[in-house]
Amino acid sequence: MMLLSRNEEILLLAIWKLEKNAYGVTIRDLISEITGYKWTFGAVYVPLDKLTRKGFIQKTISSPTSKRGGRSKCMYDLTKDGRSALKEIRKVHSALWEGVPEKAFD
Amino acid sequence: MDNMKQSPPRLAQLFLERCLRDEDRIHRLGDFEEVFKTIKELRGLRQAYSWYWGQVLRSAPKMINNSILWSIEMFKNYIKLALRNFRKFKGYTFINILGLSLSIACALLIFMYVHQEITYDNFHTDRDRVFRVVEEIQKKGSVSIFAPIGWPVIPTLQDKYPQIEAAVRVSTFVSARLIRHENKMFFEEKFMFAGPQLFDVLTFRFIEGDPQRALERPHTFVITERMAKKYFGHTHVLGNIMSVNSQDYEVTGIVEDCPANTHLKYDFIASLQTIYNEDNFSNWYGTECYSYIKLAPNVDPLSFGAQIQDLADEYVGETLRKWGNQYLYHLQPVKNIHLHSKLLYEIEPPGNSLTLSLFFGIGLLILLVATMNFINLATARSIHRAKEVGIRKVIGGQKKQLIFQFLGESLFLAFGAVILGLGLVALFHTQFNNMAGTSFTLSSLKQWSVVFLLLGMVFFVGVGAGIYPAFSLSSFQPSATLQGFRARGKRSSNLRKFLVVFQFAISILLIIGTIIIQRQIDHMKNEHPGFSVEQKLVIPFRGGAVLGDNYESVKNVFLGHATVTGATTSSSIPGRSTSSFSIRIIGEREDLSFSMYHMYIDPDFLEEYEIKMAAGRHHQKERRTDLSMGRDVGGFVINEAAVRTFGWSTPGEAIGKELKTGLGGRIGPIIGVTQNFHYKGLQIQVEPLIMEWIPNMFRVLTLTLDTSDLGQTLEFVKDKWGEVYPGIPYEGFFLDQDFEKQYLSEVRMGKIVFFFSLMGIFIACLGLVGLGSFMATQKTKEIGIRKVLGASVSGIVFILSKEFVKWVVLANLLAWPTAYFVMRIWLNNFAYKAVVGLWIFVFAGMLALAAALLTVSYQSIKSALSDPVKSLRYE
Repeated sequence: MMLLSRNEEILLLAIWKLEKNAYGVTIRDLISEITGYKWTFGAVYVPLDKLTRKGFIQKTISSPTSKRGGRSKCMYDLTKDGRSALKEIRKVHSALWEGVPEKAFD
Repeated sequence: MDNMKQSPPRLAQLFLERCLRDEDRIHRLGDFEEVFKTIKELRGLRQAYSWYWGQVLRSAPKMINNSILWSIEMFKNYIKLALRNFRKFKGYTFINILGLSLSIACALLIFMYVHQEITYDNFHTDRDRVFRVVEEIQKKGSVSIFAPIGWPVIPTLQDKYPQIEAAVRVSTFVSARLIRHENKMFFEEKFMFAGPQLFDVLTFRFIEGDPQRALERPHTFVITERMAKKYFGHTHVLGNIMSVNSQDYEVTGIVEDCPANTHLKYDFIASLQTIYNEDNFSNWYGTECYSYIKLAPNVDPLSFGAQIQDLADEYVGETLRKWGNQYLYHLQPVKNIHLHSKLLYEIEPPGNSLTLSLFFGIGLLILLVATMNFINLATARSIHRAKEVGIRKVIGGQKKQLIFQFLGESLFLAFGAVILGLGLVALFHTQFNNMAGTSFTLSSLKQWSVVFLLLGMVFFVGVGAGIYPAFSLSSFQPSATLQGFRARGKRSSNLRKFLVVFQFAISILLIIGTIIIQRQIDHMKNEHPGFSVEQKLVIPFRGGAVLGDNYESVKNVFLGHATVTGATTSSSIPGRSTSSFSIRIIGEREDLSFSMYHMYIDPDFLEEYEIKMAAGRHHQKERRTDLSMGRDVGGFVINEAAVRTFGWSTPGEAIGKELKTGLGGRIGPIIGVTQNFHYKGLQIQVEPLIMEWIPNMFRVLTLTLDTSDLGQTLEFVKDKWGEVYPGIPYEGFFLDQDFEKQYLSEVRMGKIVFFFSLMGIFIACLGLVGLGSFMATQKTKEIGIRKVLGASVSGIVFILSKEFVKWVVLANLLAWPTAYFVMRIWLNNFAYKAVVGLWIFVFAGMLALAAALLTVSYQSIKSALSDPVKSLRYE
């Protein structure tokens, strides 16, 4: 199986963390906060579309609100595939990091 | 705050909408607006505005990329489906592509030919300012316009009018020159003289040499690249010396070969200074040089033309008035010379715009036939695609998308066909060159005009063929198509019938055209020209070989062989050019002058050529008084056409009348009248001809050969020539072959039309194959039931073929009048017309019918023989 890219990993984790409240605005806020720089919507949407196509996340349309100019929200949610992809990448990470002495960072 | 200011900037929002795909548009706009409102509440409207704009602009590139990615995804799907469809209906696709690419190859060749003809002399720099000066000579009762004019015109104009930027005189009235460099020696026909400003007026591309100074000194010349290669093997030949009729000329420039589309195709351009002659160059009355001028920018050619019109009046007006003549000068745009100018003494036979439009029409018709095939097959096939359309519509496909899908498919096919057609042209362009007398090479395909033409054809064929099926398919009702769909309505089947009829009408038209052209050529070839063309070997004398007063001894040299049965010498032979002079009748209407062709012959000529006398006698060897010597005319022999032109009622009446010929102003009696013979092709009426016995005008020897041992006789003639004229190339040819060159352009046209009518009918039949098998499938059940009820195989074949017969008959009704009308116009070019019998039309119709029946019979016999059990079980 192809490994996730770093962007995809970040997005998937953000959606996971946001649980039932993952949509464009919240996802962008969260990952901007974690990574420390402002993401543009474009930079968020493109990997989101890719993840949807790969079947790692699924979309649900919620009812419209006035704050959004009467427009609906598109909520994202991890699928089973998405979760297993994250587990996979985590395994790879820990295997990679294992045995790297703490001293290397000094 | 009012409501307007609550919302994000309009323009940015609009832009954002464009970037987003349909399905995501709403909620993504929502995302943007949500953040916009948060920022507005926290930091004010201004900040929110600039955030929105910044965000949109920074996001756009990625999102646009993304949506392109999606359309590629959809495009992939279209391609996949198109390819699947092509594979599923291999036969249809094959027929479509084959027909299209064949017709595109034909059309491309024709259009390239037409393009070459209509872009004649279009390559000259400042071509809109370059004109040829021509001369209109008005005499009592006659007006003639000459392409060449008198020598003094150009210098006079240049002195007088500062509006002329540059001007040049060109003389092409030069017999072939014997050109030699070391051991290479050839006769060259393409030799001309030109003034020093030639390269300022007309465009030649220099490889070496200085265009400004190349033609200044006498005995210098500029040669083309191919001549440099022919004589030297390379092009670095500046300053080399070559011998021209054993005079030394220096090469002062090398230019690129002349393009095919110029009326001045010369390989050797010598300085005009070489032939300068005080007397000649101040003579206003001759028509000896072609003259070109380039006007300064912003000079109006019309008013300038009006200014120079009466130039001759100022200088030689008195003499002209005394003669009752008037000379007028006109300007002629250089790019109009090829197609729109048919003056006396044109340098190159002008193009024929009628033939050109005929060819263009044929090219279009061929493309049309193939395009119709496409439409036909696509609508016939639509039933198979109906389900796909239904499903696409049910899952949300819009009509617009479907139209694009089908148009895209046909554009894709057309593109493929154009590529294949290009390949065919690359493979067969040499054959086309031989047929049409063109000189296309592979590099002629590498022009922008060709690329545009091809793109145009992709578009024309792709959209033209795709638009109807695209609209009719995309408007299917999904409910109807998914329910099990029957061939719908009469409309599309009517269209199919109409298209087939039209295709066959075009094919029949082309067949009739082919037959009539062929008949006309045969008619001209078979008609007895009035003289004997058989077994005549003609040897031109030029370079150092001279006939002159020695002509009798030269004849005897060749008559020494047993199989040479006769010999005669003359100034020219039938089929080759003759010179023309003015001629007057003495004692009758002396003010009337006629311009007539003159030929100079020895006493054996008329007998050798088996030209019959109508009255009087021909020149006789024994009567030395028949010979013209000095200013004395021995006697004129004229033809019947001349008798008629002079206004005499019978040939006998002419005998003894006296004529004054323009050649030297000499006077002499008419001693004989010949029957008319076609010394030019049969396209034109026989024109008046004056014959005289003047030995120093003789240029050609004609030998009559006994064909019993031709090879050996030719060997003998060649050996003798080498013996008598060492170092001068032998150029003998047979008269019959040479005379047929008169019909070259008709033969070429016949071949082209023949070829394209074959193509036309082939492509139309291809369409029938497809349609026939489609109809047979449609009628599978009907055939099954008929067979069960006891119909015979032949009965069923009859039923299936009946309809096609009906269409072809209808096509005939369309084609016949059109063909009759078009071919009548064409035949009007000829003085001697072939008879256009009804049988030609019937024959063409039968041919088309036979082709159609043969094509559909395979399919109909196959379905007639099929097992009714199987056919009734289908579905």
